Amino acid sequence: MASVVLKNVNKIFPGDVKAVIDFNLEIKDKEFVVLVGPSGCGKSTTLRMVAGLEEITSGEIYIGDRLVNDIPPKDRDIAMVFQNYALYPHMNVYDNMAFGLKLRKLPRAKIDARVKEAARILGIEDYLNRKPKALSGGQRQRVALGRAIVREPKVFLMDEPLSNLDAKLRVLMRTELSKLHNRLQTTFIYVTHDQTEAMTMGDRIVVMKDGYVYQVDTPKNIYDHPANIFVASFIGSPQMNFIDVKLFAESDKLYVSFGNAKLVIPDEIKNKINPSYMGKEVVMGIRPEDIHDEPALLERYPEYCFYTNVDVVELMGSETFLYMDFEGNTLTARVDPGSSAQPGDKIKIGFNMNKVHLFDKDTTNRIF
Amino acid sequence: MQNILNKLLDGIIPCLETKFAITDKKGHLIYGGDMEKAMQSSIRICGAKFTLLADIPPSILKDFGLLVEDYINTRLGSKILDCLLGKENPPEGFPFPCGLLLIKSPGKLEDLLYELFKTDLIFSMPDTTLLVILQLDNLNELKEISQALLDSINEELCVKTIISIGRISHSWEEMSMSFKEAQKALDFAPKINSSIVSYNDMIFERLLLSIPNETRKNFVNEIKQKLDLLDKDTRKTIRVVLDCNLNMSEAARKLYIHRNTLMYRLDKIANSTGLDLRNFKDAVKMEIFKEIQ
Repeated sequence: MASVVLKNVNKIFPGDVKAVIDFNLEIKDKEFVVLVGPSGCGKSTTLRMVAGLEEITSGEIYIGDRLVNDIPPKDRDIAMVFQNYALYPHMNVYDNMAFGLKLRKLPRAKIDARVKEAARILGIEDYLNRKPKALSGGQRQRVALGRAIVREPKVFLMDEPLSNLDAKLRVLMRTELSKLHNRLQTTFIYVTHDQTEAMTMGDRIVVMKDGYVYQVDTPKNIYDHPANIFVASFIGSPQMNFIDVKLFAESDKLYVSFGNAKLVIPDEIKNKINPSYMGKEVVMGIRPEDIHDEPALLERYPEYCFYTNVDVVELMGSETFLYMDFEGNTLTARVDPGSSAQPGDKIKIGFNMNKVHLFDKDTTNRIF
Repeated sequence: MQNILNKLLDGIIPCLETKFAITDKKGHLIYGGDMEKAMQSSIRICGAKFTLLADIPPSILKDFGLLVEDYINTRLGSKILDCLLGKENPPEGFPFPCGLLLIKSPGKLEDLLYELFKTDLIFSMPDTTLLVILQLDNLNELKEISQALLDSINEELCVKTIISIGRISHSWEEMSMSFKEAQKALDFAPKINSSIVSYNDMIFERLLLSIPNETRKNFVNEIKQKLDLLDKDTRKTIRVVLDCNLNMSEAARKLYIHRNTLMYRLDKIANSTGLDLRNFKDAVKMEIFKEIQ
């Protein structure tokens, strides 16, 4: 168990390709941190630098109290799980798990104890004598995890370990990995491009794009208080709605206007907004679940309501998505499945203005 | 494999003033005479364990063992190479079918390979590559072994290693062909920036690399001029779509954009460059550009 610290870490590939730019992060002991971002954002490169599989161009990486910049991977006390979970087909599960320990010349009894304990934790005790080809995808992935667990590393590094599994198994393994983290009480650094994995598994999420860190925070804070438009759009499905609005004050109240709609900003938010934004255009974000069509709510908060046209209605069973058009802005709402809205209807909807997000149009950063 | 190794050893064990004998792991005498009272030490020949018996003090037995081991392994590498290149008659009774791996690495991989391939043959070739001959008949299994081996090397040694996979051979002629192809693939590997290569899977790359330099340069310039009109994000979109084998849904997921946004970007690319990734011929042009630029 150990903390991991990255200080001003940069990675520049030949040809001046900047993969990771000034990455700073302190990962606490036993923490589960998820690096998430679109393809090419630098998340895997960052993980490989922690592992020692990729040299860092500049900066410092500490595992525990030890600076590991020049320490080879095998001496870093880490274990990596890759997405392809390659296993030796000519060895049985037991030998696959024991192989790394045999290379390190651990006593046979110790190897046996560690393999059996890892197999117990992963629920693969019955498969120890089987060859990999006799295992399902999920079982093979468990063996790959087992190979990492037996090393008793201070830090687990996982690079999209579930992306080769089918959707159903991925959901199952997601829970298994979270349970495993609780059981092992070890630091996990996990890379994924799947925001659901990030939200459900991480103690903290690091959102990256183009080599930069855009936000580091708990899943809840990232969802409720995204630091910029990219994070707001990346986390959440369906994604947040964005509308260009104008901020203005009128009779001691603050409003946003877009098209012919004029909605009041609650005082709590109003007090947090820098007055320099008055009269300016900003980007307003609102999550689909914060758009309502329930008549009781609309009657209660008329100052948050306006009319819009329904384009598409998607019934999902437990919820319904309404895709609407309001003067050129496409809006998605997640509403109750009992909603009576039909395609082509003109309906009244209301924004939960306590849940709106406002972003600077130029910097794209959150303004409160 | 032990029997064939014993045959290969024929004639290459050094004649030294110090009397010694070698027995295989079953206790069969491979070289030398009866040395019942001699000291014993374990030596590795081609990855297999043998016992060295020598009538010398224990203090120098280990060094003597290393000397004999190195002498035999070096010559065995040359001998197998000569057999594969047809310069020497190969021993009969080789346990075909076999697969082979050629491994180029600056690291000391021997211990790892010995632990991994206990019943197979591991030769140090004169050009410092390692040749592993495995008794198996399934190419997919050989590929899986290569991937797992590369992961182990990364985890344990972290040295830039290239593994070239040969085809499954049923005779010396096929193994000779497989070895030559694996050597060629090993030479190609740095040009295609890949850690695991297989000659038979590289038809496309081999074809591209056979195009004259001038023609390649002209092609690259022609496409580059068009792609230079695009911004960084759009160029990345092209790369990801190609990496996803033109699977648009997968590419959209990886780029974290909606599929419709991806389609919009592809339209934009087609409008400004005349190259439409949804058109197979245009996609081929982009893939060739990606490979040879």
